[in-house]
Amino acid sequence: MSGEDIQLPRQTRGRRPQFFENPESDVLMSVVLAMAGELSVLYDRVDAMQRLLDRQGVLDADALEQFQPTPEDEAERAARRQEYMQRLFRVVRAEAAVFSSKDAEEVLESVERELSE
Amino acid sequence: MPGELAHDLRIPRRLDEQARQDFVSSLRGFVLHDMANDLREVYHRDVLPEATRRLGHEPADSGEVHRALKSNLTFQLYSAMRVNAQEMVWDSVRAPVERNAAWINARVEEAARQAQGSLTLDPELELPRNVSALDVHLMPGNYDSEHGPGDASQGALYDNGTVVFFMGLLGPDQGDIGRSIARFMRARHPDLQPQKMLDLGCTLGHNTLPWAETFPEAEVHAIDVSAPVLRYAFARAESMGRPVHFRQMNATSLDYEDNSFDVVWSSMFLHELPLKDIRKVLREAHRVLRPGGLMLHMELPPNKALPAYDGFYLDWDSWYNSEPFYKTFRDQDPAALLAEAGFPADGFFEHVAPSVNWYGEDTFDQAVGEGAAVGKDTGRLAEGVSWYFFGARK
Repeated sequence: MSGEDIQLPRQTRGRRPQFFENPESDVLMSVVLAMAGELSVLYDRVDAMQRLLDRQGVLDADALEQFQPTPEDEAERAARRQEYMQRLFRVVRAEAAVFSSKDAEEVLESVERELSE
Repeated sequence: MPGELAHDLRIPRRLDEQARQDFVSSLRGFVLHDMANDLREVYHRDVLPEATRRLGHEPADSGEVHRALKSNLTFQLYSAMRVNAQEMVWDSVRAPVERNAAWINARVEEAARQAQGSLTLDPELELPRNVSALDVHLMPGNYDSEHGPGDASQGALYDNGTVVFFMGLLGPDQGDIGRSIARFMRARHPDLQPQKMLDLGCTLGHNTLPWAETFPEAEVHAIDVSAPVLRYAFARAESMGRPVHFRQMNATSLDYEDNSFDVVWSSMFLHELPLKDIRKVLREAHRVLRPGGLMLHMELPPNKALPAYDGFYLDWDSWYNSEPFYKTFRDQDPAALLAEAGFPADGFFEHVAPSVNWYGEDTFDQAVGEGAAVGKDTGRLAEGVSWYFFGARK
């Protein structure tokens, strides 16, 4: 098979547990953790860049401050930010996912009924 | 940090993808060490006295500990962060798997053209509902989703995700559980020279291959109900030069002759099954083993071996990690299950094997000589990793 256009599912089947009194707290926790993850990713990238530039002796601090993206640069940066939004707010979209939480709960209950003794 | 897989189906990760995976491993490390220690402390310091007053006795089992903790903020924060970290495991590997899916599927086809082992799928096999209707471990798509004909990408998702999940503790081939237990048995039983062995519920074959490596004379068979993971396992085993015969089959109904195997084993498998299926699997294992043959299962230790809090700590996955049968299994007495399946009662054994990857070869060899007991860290990812298993001779 080709597999060129394979898209894996984004959301997990099953009821997402709620731990806090208000459901929005659970959602906010997810967003904060995703945000923390992306910040860490960004830090690693900047760190890698600084180390490489330092080793090669080519880091010009002024050039970095005065950086102006070309239209091509900007298109790539915009696409990256879109991907970032999808990742950051994945959980906000869970309710609208194909397999709704309600369906998933019914399936889980029916499986437990059928299979447990 | 998770590091890279050491086999030919390894897929390249971009800089940000690697950083994302590293972050999730770090987050899991924080939750499973720091927050888990906080939770234990808060439970014993604040929650236990209050619950004991209310109940008139100390919480006596995993369920009572769980109920006592539900309104506690440390439990809520620990659990919410652990669920999120679990979801982020799969999220962190999805993009590279999607990008490389075509390449992975081509490797499966290529392996089939020049195989030393074999792959036999059964498109007619009816998948059990505990696989087809759930996303076990919160992995979207589970083991069985196919995103096109011949697709193995859920296998790749599971392989790459479990490296992040285990924070690299299973070693670059993810074989630590199989390797630690196979070597433990070889050291303890020098007479063990199997000619034919069977792995049940093998998924990626990551715990199949270490048994093949430890007993290189044996013919190795491995089964699973899900085609995508079997395709991946087959290509992965071929790429590592380990011929294994993979077949799509349900362990509750084995298509093998009576008395045909010297060893039948599984790794982290039984706890995903409903109890009635566990009973069938054990009876089938008994049937296909030759007299004197060895059956063993690596598992989480049973609740009866642990204090109530430690039982609760392991049962967490049953409530929140889409593994609904995990607690029911851990509430069983393994010796009683094996006796029901026809194994002689005096042949039952249970051991705790130290992790080869964690301790290194020398310390491992020394520890195998001394033996170990089930403790609060057995089967969990903490300081000093060890693996519980039980079994019997037919």
